Amino acid sequence: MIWLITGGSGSGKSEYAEELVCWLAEEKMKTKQEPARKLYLATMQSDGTEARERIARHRKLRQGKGFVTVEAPYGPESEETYDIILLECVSNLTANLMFGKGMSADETAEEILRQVKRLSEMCPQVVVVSNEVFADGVLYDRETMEYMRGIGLVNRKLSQIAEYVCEVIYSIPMYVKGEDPCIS
Amino acid sequence: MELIIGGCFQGKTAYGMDKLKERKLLPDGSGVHEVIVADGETCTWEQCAKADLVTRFHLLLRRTFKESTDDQGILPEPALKAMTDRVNILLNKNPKLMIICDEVGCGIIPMERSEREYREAVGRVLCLLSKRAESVERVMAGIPIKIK
Repeated sequence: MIWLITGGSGSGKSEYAEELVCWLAEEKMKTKQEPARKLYLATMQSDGTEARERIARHRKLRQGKGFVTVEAPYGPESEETYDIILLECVSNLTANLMFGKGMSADETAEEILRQVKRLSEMCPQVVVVSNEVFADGVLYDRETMEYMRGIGLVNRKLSQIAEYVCEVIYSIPMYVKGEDPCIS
Repeated sequence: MELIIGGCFQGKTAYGMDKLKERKLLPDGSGVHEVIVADGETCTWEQCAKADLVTRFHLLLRRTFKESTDDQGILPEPALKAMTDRVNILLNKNPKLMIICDEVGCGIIPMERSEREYREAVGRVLCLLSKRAESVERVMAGIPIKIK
């Protein structure tokens, strides 16, 4: 099962995605009586104080929830299997592939689609966090617009293969595909 | 408290005003009681405490954010705390308030740090508001969508 969770800056999308993962783990516990192995794939690169602060805030949010954290700025490489994978977030991954690896927006979208498909073959539940960056009405330079197009492509491709697509609006989950599991 | 959010220029204020006017109709139908409006661009927190409606709430948050940060070093945590403290006080004083606020977080991360922090802080405050609100509506092209 693939879950695509989006939202704007400060919308509470990360917090929701983590709650969702914990809920999925509880559901597994109920049905199979065994704890779920949870992997957190972090795509943000810590190249400055602000990124470090951000990472620290997210680490704090995850604390005690039993995640194994693996840094994956260019996407997952490990073949280890888990029950639930949280990939956060594909907008960073898009930036890293486009600006770090020189991929085009189209190549990047294909690459991320391939990665997420592969994850979903290895693992029963994959939760992917993305970003809403499309509605500030600003005309940016070509490179930035291309980056935005890349994230748009990624979201569109992922929403096709995802069973659930949800935008988090200030802590409120709004499902646009699949039924809201009402986790809280 | 009721919360109305959405992008700019979507008709949030017109929608909120209509809603309030309907509630404030005089019993004989001859008019409406005055709707007290505070505009986030210029109003104080105290004025919000006495209003029926605060519009452009993000601009009030923005001013509070700017006052709580300095030019040299941005202090996101204290700025955010200043905002949430004020919001909590306001809601305790005026639990019936209608709040209209722009969504500002659905764009590319700004280059300037204080702008990034501001956007993030508005988001955090709106998360707090949506948790405490009796209803949350998002207005798009003049159409309200009830999300809570």
